[in-house]
Amino acid sequence: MKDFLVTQFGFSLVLAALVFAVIQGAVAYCIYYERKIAAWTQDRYGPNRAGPLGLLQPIADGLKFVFKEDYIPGHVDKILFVLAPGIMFVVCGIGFLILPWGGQLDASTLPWLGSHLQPGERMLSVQVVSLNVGILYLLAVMSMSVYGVVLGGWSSNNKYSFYGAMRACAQMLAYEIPMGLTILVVVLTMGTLRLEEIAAEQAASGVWNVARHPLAALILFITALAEANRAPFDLAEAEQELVGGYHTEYGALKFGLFFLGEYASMITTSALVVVLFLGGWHVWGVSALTMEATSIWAVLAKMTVMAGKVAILIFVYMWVRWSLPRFRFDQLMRLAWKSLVPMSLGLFAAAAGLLYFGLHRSIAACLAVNAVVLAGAVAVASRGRTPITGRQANLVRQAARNDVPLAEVRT
Amino acid sequence: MTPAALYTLYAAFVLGGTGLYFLLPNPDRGKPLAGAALGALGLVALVVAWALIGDAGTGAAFYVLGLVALLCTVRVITHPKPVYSALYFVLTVLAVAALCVLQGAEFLAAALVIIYAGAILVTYVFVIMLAQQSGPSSTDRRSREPFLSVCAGFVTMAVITAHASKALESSVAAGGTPRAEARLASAAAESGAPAGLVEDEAKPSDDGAKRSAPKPVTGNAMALGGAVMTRYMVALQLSGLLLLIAMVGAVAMSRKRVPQEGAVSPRAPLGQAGREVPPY
Repeated sequence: MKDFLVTQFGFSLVLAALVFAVIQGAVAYCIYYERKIAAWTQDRYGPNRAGPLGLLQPIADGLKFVFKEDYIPGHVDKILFVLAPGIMFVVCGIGFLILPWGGQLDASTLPWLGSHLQPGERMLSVQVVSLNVGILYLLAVMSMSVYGVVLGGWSSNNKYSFYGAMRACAQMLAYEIPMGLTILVVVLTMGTLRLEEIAAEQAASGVWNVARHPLAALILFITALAEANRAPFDLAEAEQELVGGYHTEYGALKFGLFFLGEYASMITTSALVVVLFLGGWHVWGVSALTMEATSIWAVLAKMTVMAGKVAILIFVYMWVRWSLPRFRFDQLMRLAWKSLVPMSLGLFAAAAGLLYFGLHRSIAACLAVNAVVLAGAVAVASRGRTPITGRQANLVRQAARNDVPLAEVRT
Repeated sequence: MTPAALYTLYAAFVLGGTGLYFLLPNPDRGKPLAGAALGALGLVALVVAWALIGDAGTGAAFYVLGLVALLCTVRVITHPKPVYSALYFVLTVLAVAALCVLQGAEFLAAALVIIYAGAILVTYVFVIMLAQQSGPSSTDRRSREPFLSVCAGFVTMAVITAHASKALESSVAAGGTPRAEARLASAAAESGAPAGLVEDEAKPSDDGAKRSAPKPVTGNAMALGGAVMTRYMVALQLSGLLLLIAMVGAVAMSRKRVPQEGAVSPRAPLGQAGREVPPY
């Protein structure tokens, strides 16, 4: 038993259970975090009744989910209605398996477990699985998460839920493309699909990928927001138009599972951005945070740094949510297909070109390429007229009909 | 392959085919219970045949995943509700992807899930949900040519199996094991990649220390990339061109001429809802 726990397989099992539990706990506190940030943005106190500083609020919320009546409306497709939150929860809960949380661990430094091992005799990877298609696994898992939303919306047999599901489906299909392309930019630069190698190489060279491809990092962050269905991309649950969107008919624990899924996928996607662009567990000038430091304390420090970076990114997610208004659906589609897809395609082609000339690790060349793509995008955007849609078109028509300047039209 | 194994395999196909014929949705002739029983017998025969062939499976995981894939495929064509059919198709794709992983083809597995389960089937589900808001149509409850389609399907499968078993025998005769290692090695030899590039990760090792050693850096994703970019370059370019043509065609077909802003469009006759836009 003792020896099994220090094999990679046993260690992976323990790590999977541990990280899963931590993520579930973190999800509960993310809700607290979100409400506090909302309060900060809107200049109020936020939750402060349950426990000191309201710290017990997530537990109260969780208990409320559990103890509410688990009601299934009579008009729904029962099998899929129950299955959908489960799919959402499982799919969003298995993405973290591939993420590297802390480089390599020398098993002999583990207290008690590794006492019989020589230093350096057995190195464990602080990652649940190490696949040679690493990043593709994450893409595959994320592309499956749309089923939870779509099935939930469809099986509810409610037109608002159905609209929400359709919107989510179209949105996720559209934003997967720029996301995949920007990830490919990193793959081309680093020459590997393994996330642990991408993190280790950024730590070894001290150059985070965001210094090479800031534009790609920005696009990846935007698409990560969209994939997690977060504001300003939360059209699937636009309260003003769709009651509650795809989870209108859900309540109690099933609604809670949708919620858990959304926050777990936020954590996974921000961890992905951290690993790909923000150097994973690396910080400059700390000797514990290098590839060579493999003791258990160094690994714990690395995991803390990684968690801190993820927390900062999640703060940005929430900051964006409480600052920006929601997109309209045509704006959402235009952003994906007319700007993010061409820009990420351009970046991808440019990264391939840099690779051909052997300049893919050169910061100056990469930055120049990013600047060129951005300048091209700005040039195209400024040449095109502002598209007139919806209400604006009515205004223009009214102005033409009444023969008055556009500014004077009253609706 | 021994004659006994071969005939058991054919018996499995006949049983499975007959069972499928009765399972196919048909209010007059369909006998789902008899079909299911025959199908189950066919599956048993298939497992027996597999055991007789020997060395072709890779343990319990192979059998479980294979069963899941087969049963889900049957449900794809027998389920009366199209949405469920599409979802069973998703399960089939996932099971097949898992089988690919068992054979050491992680890249293929990931591509299957991303492209089929993650994109194409989502679009199917999307279309089915939009098209059938008033419930499934009666055509979904009746299969059109159950006998001919079952015959065609199972004859095709028998031919493929016969061909595959020949390949299996020749590879066994050549001294190799019909496992992932042999396949990977031959893939490397075919693609002209250096042998060191392809390192088999599916190789079982009982030694704990060996398992915990750092895994090899490269895998078959890289070997596959090498093969695609060297030996199969023309095929890759042609398929890319085909996709481009399809995309341009789709854009040309879906593009409509929208009337200019402020232009007077003829009013649609009474009783005709919506506006008609002539194709571009």
